[in-house]
Amino acid sequence: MSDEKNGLSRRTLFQLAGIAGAAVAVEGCAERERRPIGPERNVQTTCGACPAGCGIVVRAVGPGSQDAVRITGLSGHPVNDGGMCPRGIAEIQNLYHPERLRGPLARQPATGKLEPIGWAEAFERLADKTRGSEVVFGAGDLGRGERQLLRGIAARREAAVVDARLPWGAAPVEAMREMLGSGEWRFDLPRATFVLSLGADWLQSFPSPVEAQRAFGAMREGPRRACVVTADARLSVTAARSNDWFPVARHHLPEFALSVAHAMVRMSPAVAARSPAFAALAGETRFGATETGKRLGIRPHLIDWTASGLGMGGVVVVDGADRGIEAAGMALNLVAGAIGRPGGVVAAALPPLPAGLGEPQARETGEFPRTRAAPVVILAAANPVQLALAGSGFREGLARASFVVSLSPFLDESAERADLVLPVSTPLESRNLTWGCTLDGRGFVSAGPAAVKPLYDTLEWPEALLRVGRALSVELPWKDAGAYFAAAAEALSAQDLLKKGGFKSLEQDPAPPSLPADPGAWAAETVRSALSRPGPGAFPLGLAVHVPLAFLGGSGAHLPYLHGIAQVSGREIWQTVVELHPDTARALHIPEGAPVWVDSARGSIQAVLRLRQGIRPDSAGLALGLGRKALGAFAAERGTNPLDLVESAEPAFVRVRGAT
Amino acid sequence: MAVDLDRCTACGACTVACAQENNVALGNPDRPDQLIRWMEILPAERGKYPEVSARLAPSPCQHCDREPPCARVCPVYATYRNVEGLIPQIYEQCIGCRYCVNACPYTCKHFNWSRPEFPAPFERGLNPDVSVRNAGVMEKCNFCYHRLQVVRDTAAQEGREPKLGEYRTACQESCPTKAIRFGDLDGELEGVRENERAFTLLEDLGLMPKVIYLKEKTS
Repeated sequence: MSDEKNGLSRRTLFQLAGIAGAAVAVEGCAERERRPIGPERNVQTTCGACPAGCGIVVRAVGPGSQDAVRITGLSGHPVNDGGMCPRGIAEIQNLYHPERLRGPLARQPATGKLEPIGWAEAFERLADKTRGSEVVFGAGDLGRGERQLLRGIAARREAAVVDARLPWGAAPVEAMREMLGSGEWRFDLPRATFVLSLGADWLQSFPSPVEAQRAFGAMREGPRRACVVTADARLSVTAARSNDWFPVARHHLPEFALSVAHAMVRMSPAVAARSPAFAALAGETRFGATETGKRLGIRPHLIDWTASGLGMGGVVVVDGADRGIEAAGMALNLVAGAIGRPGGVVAAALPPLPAGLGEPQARETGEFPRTRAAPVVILAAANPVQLALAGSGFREGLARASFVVSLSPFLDESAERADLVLPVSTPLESRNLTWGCTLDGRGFVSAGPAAVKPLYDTLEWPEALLRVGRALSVELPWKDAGAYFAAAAEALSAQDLLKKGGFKSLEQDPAPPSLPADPGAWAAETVRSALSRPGPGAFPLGLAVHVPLAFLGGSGAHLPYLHGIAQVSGREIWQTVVELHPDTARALHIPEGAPVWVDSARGSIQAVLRLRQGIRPDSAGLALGLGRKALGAFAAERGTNPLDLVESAEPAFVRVRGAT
Repeated sequence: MAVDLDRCTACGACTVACAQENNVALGNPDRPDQLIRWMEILPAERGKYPEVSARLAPSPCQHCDREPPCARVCPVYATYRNVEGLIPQIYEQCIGCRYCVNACPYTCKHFNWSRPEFPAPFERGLNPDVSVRNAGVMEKCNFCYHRLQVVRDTAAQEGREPKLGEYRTACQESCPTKAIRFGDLDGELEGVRENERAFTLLEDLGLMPKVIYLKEKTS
């Protein structure tokens, strides 16, 4: 039926009704109180969720435009060019998380509980406790400037700095330092033509997550179209998006790399001169493609094919988790001639450091100094109770500390045990000034103001660190964070950027690296030692640990939206999943979805079994990030922590058994 | 919407951007089965070890162009195909019968089993342009319809027509690899349907989804 007289058909009438309905729906829900939108601001600044330094635009609404409700990427920014990663977007949930600390806390001797305390008293207490004491810093995921500040304070106080970051997904800094003289090198993925991911799930865990995704997009663009292959025990996200997946057990990855090097030298003997020591090791008959393929359970022609790809201008991507694998990967880059070549591994062109942030700088170590009897431990964004590897001795160090201080926006597992908790602001409440280098080696500076005012009685990171320094009787050139930011911005010619938000690209070339005579000698020695590590014994399954992007660096489980993307290869949520091949599970008589125990020589954790074809039958896959004991309902007591199974980031072995 | 699976890295930025933009419920860790995500990365593993591959496809509501099954079964006209060809969901009109959940072959409709809670101060991060749904109401991706309204309002205030590419969805905006493109199939996405890599989910059903995937290149 239609009302043609009025020129209104029944269909049009319904359409109009629908549009009106949609407007109502968008307008708001009657039962909830509507917040005034207020004046709206779009604040251009720099993301501080990780040290990558993406440019962002924060939409702030509400009274005084102080409610951050949307984060988008800043177009043209050299790191993210308008794109975002889930961690950056979830900063809004980090800012407004109900579990955030409202002000400093100190443990009261009488009650043994953490109670509120004033800032002045907190730093006085810190000064008292550190007077004449040895100090050890734990440095977690800090921004570049903040890390420099902390290391500068530590050097002046002769304190040790323990790197408390999770090694999975980190840059292979040790291999770069040992082989190439500096840790400031980048995998030039945007210009790569062939990429071998050696056990690295770089699309999920990488020091600069958005750049990794963008580089992948660039590889898929135009006629150049790079080839990506991944050698890993499980079909990771990177493996799934690669042209080919070579199922290689984690503990066999150094052998796989040697075999590829063997094939490269066989194809073109001249390449051996790039690293005589590594080439000599790889030249051993046992690393021939046929023998290695048989030993590792992969087809020999894949080894030759990979060697051809690398030989024609490829690059090997590794992370800094296992020394043996990172050494093998970087040595393979040497043999492939990738060092210093566009599309290979390129030196970073970083701007000169602002005065006061340069030397002296304490060197970071991977292990807690065992000689220090009862030190004062200061944790800066570090959470060793949850994330330290057993072999680092950090948890034992914490147990024998005379006094523990935690700088964190949250009462995490380590802060819960601290004697003094100093809350820092979240990135959206802080000014951000950072500098770095994109994957193709171009330097940049990125900065911006705080998007919103601090919600609570917290300090920006530079302010907190400067005050810690002062409590330790270390004087740096800046009286407060304002002076620090002003001086750093001046040194980097970034005053405007800090005020209005933005970035600038740097034109200077990187300093020419001075490479040792055979940069691969260290790698050859390290890989040789990795080859003699014990294989599976009573624990028959190689453990393939991985870090989802949602829980990059092992954190993020408190942010509810991130749980929806944490399980990429399945749909389980808020639980730890162990992946097994169906044949392996059948032999164990465990059905899919069953609760299981995963045991190692070090411990046991519970998990739920997921079956997938995309994992070697001799391996078990486990994701990091859950198993938290703190941080509220979205994180605490959800899943288990696979770090309880391992001593170090070296390949480990487990067994799986039914839990019922 | 066009999703180029050759470029997509399954990073999940689209999922989180969508949830943040549309005030999607936080979820209840004790009821993970009731989690609502308007945009999901659907994992699909194919083949047998060692010849295994996986497709990871971002999947919003497919906005069926021909007789959307959800609209066909909705007894109260809470979901329908509108003049722009989008399939909105009218929360105020929905009676929560869940017929549409059963009808949707793409599992894109979500039911609020309980009233979404945003414990203070989480609610300060809610997008004021979008309502928070109530218990007993269906919800799903609406291609960020509120953004279209903003674009139209802005254009009207400035006395002009909306520009090509001005209406952007949150997932598209966040995508770091630019794998998600959005726009009119006769405008921004002209030619996408004819792309040799183009396909839609469950094509045999003949629903003509408006989310067009470009499959991975084989070389």
